[in-house]
Amino acid sequence: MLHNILIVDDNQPFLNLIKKIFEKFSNKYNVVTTNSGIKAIELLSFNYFSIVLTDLQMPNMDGFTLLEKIKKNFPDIPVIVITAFDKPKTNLVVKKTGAYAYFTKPLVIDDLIICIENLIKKETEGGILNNASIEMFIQLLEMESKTCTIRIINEKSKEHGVLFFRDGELYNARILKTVGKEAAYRILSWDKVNISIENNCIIDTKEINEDLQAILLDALRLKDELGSLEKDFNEFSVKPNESIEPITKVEVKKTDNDASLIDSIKNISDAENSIKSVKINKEWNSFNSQATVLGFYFNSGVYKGSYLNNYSSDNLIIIPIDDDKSYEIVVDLKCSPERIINSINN
Amino acid sequence: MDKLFNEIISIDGIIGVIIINNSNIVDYKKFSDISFKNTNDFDKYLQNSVNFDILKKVFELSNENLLIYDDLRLYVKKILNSYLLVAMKLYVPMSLIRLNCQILEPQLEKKLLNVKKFKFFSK
Repeated sequence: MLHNILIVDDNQPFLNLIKKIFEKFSNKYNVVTTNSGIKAIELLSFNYFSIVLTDLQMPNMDGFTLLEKIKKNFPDIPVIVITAFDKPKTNLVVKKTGAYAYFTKPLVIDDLIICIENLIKKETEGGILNNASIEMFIQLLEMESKTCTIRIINEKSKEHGVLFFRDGELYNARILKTVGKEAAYRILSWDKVNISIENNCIIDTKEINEDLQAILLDALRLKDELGSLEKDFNEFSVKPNESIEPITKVEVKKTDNDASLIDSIKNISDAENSIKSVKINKEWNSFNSQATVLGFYFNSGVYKGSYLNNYSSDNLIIIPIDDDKSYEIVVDLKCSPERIINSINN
Repeated sequence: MDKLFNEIISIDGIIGVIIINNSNIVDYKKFSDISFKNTNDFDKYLQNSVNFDILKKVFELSNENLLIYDDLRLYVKKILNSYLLVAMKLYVPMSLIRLNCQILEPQLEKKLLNVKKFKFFSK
């Protein structure tokens, strides 16, 4: 498996150099570089990374703030600090904030590689399970009162999720920037997964207070309600890429050929009979932008689409394509609008 | 009104319930203390940042609307001349919210008519 490593440094020649060095390990690591802490957070929110390497002194967001933010929002991702300003106090502060290791420039690359390999090994120290059923597995963890970090990959959609267990209790969960119960529900609704176990849990605050069985039941309910999203995922979307373009956010590409997408929409396995027509319409732009503005108030994230239900056989789904156009899909009552909207957005 | 919405607000994952009248004024709002941390005033936000007339034109086309975002859903239901908005996390069962709102609708209609009467007399 290819591991994504994010390197953050405002020194472009250093980034170029380190990328060159990592080319030798391209069968193991995919290196993504960025020159700012803010971009790093954005990248972490939309892509799966195994390790972050960061400089300390950077404009806008320095390495200390970045480290703090990663520890808060992506606690399972280990951070290695690389700096030219080596002071005993800095080392102490950085380790206290939660960095896994501290390297000084000029860098001894062999030491860094050993450190990265140790971290990757740690992720699977408790074993790997392929093609497993997540429900069974976590019930075993509960029974055995295990303390561990479980990294899960959905075999179909290739989404990555993390579950944090302490003494058999589910403390937290994470998928990209989504944490807590919401992430747990999504992970637990996955069908076939690959699991790797780290015999350690970095989290000590319990963010999920519900009983594991209750969460499992709710996850199953969610799975039923949304329909099996993964099923559509393969047909519709570009899978999350294991090789990531540097610096820019990796966006899921929509096909350039609108006609083929319309066909694809119609062909959503279970929705085929529910979709009556699909057209591209420019009239929804102002509605979409106001829907986006309304959502901002609730920290909604990106606006994905709307469902207008008349309780009749001609209901509408509106999905923005870009600033200019929207899909206008006429569906009957049988359809699952969220499933269609999510599939197309994915 | 609080009593009416207590049950919906107490559902895990509900962010808030808002009623906006036809003049784009917020008649009622209640946010869940646990999941909602925006300290800005929604009334001001609605007046200054949102063109609710544009949204209304679309909301009027249907009996209920669902706006779907990355991290939440907004369920919008037209009741008399007002709009009931329910903001919720993605894991909240939609059918449960729809059912709750349908049950509430007759009582809510009465309340909204009373609000109107009261406003008329207060003029």
